[in-house]
Amino acid sequence: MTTKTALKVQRELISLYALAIMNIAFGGIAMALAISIGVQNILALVKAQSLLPPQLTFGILGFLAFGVSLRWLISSTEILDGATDIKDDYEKKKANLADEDLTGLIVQMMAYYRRNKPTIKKMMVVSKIAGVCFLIGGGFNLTTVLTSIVSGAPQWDILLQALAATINFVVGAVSLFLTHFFGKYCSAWDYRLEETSKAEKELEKQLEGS
Amino acid sequence: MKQKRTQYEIYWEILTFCRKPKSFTSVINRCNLNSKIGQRHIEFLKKKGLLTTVENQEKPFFIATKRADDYITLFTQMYKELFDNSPEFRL
Repeated sequence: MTTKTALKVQRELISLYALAIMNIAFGGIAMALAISIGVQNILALVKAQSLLPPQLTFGILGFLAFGVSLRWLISSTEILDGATDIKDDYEKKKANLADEDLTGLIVQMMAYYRRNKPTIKKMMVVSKIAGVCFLIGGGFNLTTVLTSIVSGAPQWDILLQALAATINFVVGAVSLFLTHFFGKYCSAWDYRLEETSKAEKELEKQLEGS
Repeated sequence: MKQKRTQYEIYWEILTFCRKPKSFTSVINRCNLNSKIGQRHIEFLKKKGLLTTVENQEKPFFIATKRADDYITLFTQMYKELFDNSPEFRL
């Protein structure tokens, strides 16, 4: 039983750690992309000396995505911090993992989820918004590619726009993928928290009998 | 890491740590408690007969009683079961 539980704890810790790392990496990429989109479009407006609606829209969208990505990045570091602590503790104990060490790790993971639940829920919303922003950006890039092909623009220009569309779609898709997995993580731990309330009644009875 | 544990989880941590005599300071340090809350939990466990005080060189040390074993066993078994019987989170 201990081995089965230990393996499950190990797998869950690795998954949580990997998810936190991916989240921080893509939060950073999203922020960098958002700045570049924002600045590029604002520079185009300055250069044109007039209000071009698409550039204005994407300039605003870029800076909006920057704010959202920054929030995403901050939440990600908070999540990674706690996950690293538990993983390190597990690494220290794993050579000689007794029943009580295992329960201690479960208690730590439970406490970690209780503490981070609001942040994770907030981050899921932020990550979803960022994902949608990047998908819209990708859609815009794709439209530009098609327009450029029709108007016979230079090939390297079309290639660059296609690359930008691909990057936007990938970042957008990964953002939604991360939201999905954080959702899975939350549902697993929400279930456990619910079960803990039932266990608490038993523990209360045990203490009353003491 | 900041903790957010239930009182039952804190009791379990104190009792498993006090399998051997421990000073008040070491208990609150190990279990991440402030002295006021630590004192309150220790008093509760003493009142329930799960923790007792022993003197060593005129200093008080806390040690879990035989009764604490039942609580520790029940807690360990229930937490492992609820973890084992729940859906696994995997990437």
